[in-house]
Amino acid sequence: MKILRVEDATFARGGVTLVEHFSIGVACGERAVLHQPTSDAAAIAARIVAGIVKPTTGRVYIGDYDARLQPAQAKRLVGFVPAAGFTGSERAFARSVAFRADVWDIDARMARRRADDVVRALGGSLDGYVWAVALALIPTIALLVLDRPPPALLDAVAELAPPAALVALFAGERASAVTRSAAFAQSAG
Amino acid sequence: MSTHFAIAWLARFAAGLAVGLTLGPRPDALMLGAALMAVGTARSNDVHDLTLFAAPLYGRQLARALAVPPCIAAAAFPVGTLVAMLGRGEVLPPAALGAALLGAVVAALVGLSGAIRTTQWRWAYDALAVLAALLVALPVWLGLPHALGLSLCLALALGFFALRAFGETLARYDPID
Repeated sequence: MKILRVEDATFARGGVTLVEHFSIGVACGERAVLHQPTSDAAAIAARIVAGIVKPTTGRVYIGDYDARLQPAQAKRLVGFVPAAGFTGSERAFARSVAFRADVWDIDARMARRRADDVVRALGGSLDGYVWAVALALIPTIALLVLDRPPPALLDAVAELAPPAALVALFAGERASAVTRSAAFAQSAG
Repeated sequence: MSTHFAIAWLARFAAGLAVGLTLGPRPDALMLGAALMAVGTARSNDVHDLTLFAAPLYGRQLARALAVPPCIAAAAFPVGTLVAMLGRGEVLPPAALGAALLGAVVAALVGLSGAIRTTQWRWAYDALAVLAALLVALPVWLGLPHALGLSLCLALALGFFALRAFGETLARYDPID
């Protein structure tokens, strides 16, 4: 069963098309890399895939939910990592962990432990992207969306979320090409 | 955000204190000041924070969460004036203080929808926020019978619609910036 189905999605604002038609379907455990021509297009496409931004045309289904009609149910299944990563302080990170624990109904101490485990597994770095991945992986999710991740992190992140489908968005020449590979970092390059 | 919020709150509190200490117990200055100082309180929120939009929350839930800090910030000016009055040993009419507080909260709620809009619409929401606050304070200003009760009814109605409108706005909003 496909956990993510994006059907012919576009995004336009003020009459300008910012994201051209793209479709993608990803099943649980699958990994996909989606290329967009520009960073802006990649950022918007990542948010469309995560159900955060509504496409101007086309549809996005996450699990059994239409992301436009049932956004809260759809987002409950998704972990989203923005390109900028987590930009706050250590205290703000602790607050964000508590926020996610609260919203996803997880025990606060368990959420903190899960976040620390993910940070440790990714090398214990204080990098903002690692922190953002840790936040995204606190709840049990079915889909992890990575907006322009550092290619070096990709395989390690994929190993941390094995049952979840994983979609990484990149900006580059190969517009709208979808590639699937177990060797994630290779296909991202 | 917390440091920014604390500074913004203290600045409004200091303004209320200054107005209270210099002008004394002036209900008109209090109500007008509260309305004006409530403008921009919604901007202490980071409404573009993707953490919020990525969370499985409906627009109305986000709206309620984002409404709390501006309302607290908006109360700073009337509280500052109250503290100044206590310092001077003078009495501020309770109805004026209540109307100023209610007006400030309504202005903060109306201003919320402006926080995710661009320049000219943001100005329009700021103007609407001041007008709403003055409308809430009007019964007390005019000395109508049961003035505070009337102000409370107006504040409840306007606040409810403002918060609902903000929830609808957030539900339709696409955070792409």
